[in-house]
Amino acid sequence: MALENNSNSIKISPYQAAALMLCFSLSGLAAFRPQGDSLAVCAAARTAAAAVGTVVFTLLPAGGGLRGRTGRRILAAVSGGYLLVQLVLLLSGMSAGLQFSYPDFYSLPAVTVCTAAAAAYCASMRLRGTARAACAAAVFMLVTLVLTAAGAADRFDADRLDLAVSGKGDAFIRQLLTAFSQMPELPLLAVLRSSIDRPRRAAAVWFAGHSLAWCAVLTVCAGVLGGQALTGIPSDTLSSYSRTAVIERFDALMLMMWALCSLLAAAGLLLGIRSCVRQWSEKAAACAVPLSAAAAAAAVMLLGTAADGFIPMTVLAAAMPAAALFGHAAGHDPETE
Amino acid sequence: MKRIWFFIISGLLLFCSAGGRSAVTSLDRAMVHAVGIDRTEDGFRVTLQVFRPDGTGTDTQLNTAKPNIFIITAEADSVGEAMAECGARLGEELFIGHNRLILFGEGVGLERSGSLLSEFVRSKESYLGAETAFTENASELLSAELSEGAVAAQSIVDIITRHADDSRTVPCDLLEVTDAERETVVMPRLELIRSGSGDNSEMTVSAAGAEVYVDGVRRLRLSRSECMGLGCLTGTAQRAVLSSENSDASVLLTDIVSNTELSEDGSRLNVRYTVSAAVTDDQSTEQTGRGGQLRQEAQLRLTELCGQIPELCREYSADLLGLEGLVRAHCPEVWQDCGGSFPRLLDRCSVSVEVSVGDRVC
Repeated sequence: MALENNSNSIKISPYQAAALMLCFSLSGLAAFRPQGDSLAVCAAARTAAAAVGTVVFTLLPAGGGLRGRTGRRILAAVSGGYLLVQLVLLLSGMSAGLQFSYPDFYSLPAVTVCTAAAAAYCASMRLRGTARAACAAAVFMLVTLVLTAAGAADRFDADRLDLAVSGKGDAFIRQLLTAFSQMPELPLLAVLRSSIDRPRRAAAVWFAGHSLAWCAVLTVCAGVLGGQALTGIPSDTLSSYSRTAVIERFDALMLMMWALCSLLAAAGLLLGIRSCVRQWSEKAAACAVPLSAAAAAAAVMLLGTAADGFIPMTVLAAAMPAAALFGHAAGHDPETE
Repeated sequence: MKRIWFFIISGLLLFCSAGGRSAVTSLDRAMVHAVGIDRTEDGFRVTLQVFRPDGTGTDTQLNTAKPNIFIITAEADSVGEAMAECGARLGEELFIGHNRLILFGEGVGLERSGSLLSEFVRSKESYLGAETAFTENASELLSAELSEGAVAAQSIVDIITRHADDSRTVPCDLLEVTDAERETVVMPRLELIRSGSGDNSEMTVSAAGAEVYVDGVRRLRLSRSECMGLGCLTGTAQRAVLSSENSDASVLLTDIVSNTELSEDGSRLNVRYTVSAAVTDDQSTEQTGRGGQLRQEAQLRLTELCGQIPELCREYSADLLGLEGLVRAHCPEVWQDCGGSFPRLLDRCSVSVEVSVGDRVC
């Protein structure tokens, strides 16, 4: 539910903001690869990282405590750069995840371009529209996860959780660092803070949802898959193993929900970048969304595998920004937030 | 409005980038329903049971006049290579998303189960819940024209499930077999049974009994009664039919529930299994008035069946009861003390079994 404050600016509710952040968490969870570490340790590390981030966000004053215009601009530039890097990581993670699971069917440029274009379109709905869509996506994803877990519950055995692993400390530190590097939710929340009603509550709601989802899903994966959960993408393996009387396999549904959450997460990042650019120039902010989407897609294709040939990727990398400029030259309608 | 240019160009780029991939239509796919793996002198023989939608002369996909399955066999150094050979001979892309069954022949060891089954684990299409079973000759069993079931693979899966429900065998899926090189895996044993003679002979499959692989090596065979004891102890059995030793009567045990308790007593671990089952009084027991006696006999028999499983564990160093996981989860320091050795762990464990058989509460 959107709220209207005295200055006539429309803010999204804390639950909508939390749902947008939760799209990141669920998208990350659906593509999470433990790389051999115990899932119990991974879940603990993710929860600890989220707790630290939430506490820092709650204690942090609005705008990072910076009052001067120059300071705010510098902060906005750093934040925008960080969010752009996260967008590149999100897009590359999505294409890498699809290629890992379905190496024969998905091409990296196709997935990247498609996701970037769709995310830009979502972001063009502005924050309210994106947050509303994120609410639906987060709920659908949670329902999918619950159904998947229920379909594999027969095989769940708490003895498979394997808590007695050696080197837990090292694994925890490793996973904690990974969690911090893959957690753009709270920085994004900080960037969009002025557009969110009661942002601290949003952070608290996100933390609860994030921790619950990660702990529950990884526990089910470990309890059902045992040693098989330590390699590959556990939630994906679980979804292809799970079956109910109605649905035989959940991997297609999981793939759909993962793509939807990733898309909305990318749209959220684009809106964050746009908000950062606005600190510098209102005019530049208008083209921030298509340009950032294009730049991120180009970066993914250039930095990604050269399996599809260097020339097509170079063409795409050059043509995407050109396409974005076309869009910008065509004009825009500034958003009132 | 003119932002549409952005999406038009993006769309064109998308078409260009996606066009490089060759599409595989469903008609180009050979749908594998069952896989048999046998050991040969040089490598492996893989037998595939492939669904064949033969539409010639019929409106529907299924031609009821012909068998709708097709058997193809190939030999190669590895399972993956043999499967690729099958696909090449068929001239189609193998689709293992519908695979329901994997059979392992007598000579196939699971010491390197990860690499042996890499074709199934690697493929995203593969269903990790596919049933697995042991048989003397996988190729022969898959090629047999069974007298029951429209789809052969599904009928074999149903036979395994039915035997497992009656605690005559222990079911095992692909997910469990992938860890066979490190763990103990109990797999149903399939036997081809011929009845009748000449043109009237019919073939059926029995799944009574199981084979046990320890660290990938086939170590012992469990009889039907041993499977019953194991199923009741591990909680996989749903019902069991026990016959009385003193009479021709038999009782049906239902509501079989197993609980495990682990306690430490100094340096030793006490593992206590409590199995409870219920007997439903039927007309025959009412008529003879021997309900109480039959329950008592059933309790004794079930105690005997369950009690032999810990002995088998010790004799063959086979973790049939999942003790390793239990101790790792609840007493990790003991597990570390034993250096991860199951025989050493067994030496420190005292396993006791308590069985109670009562009336079924309706």
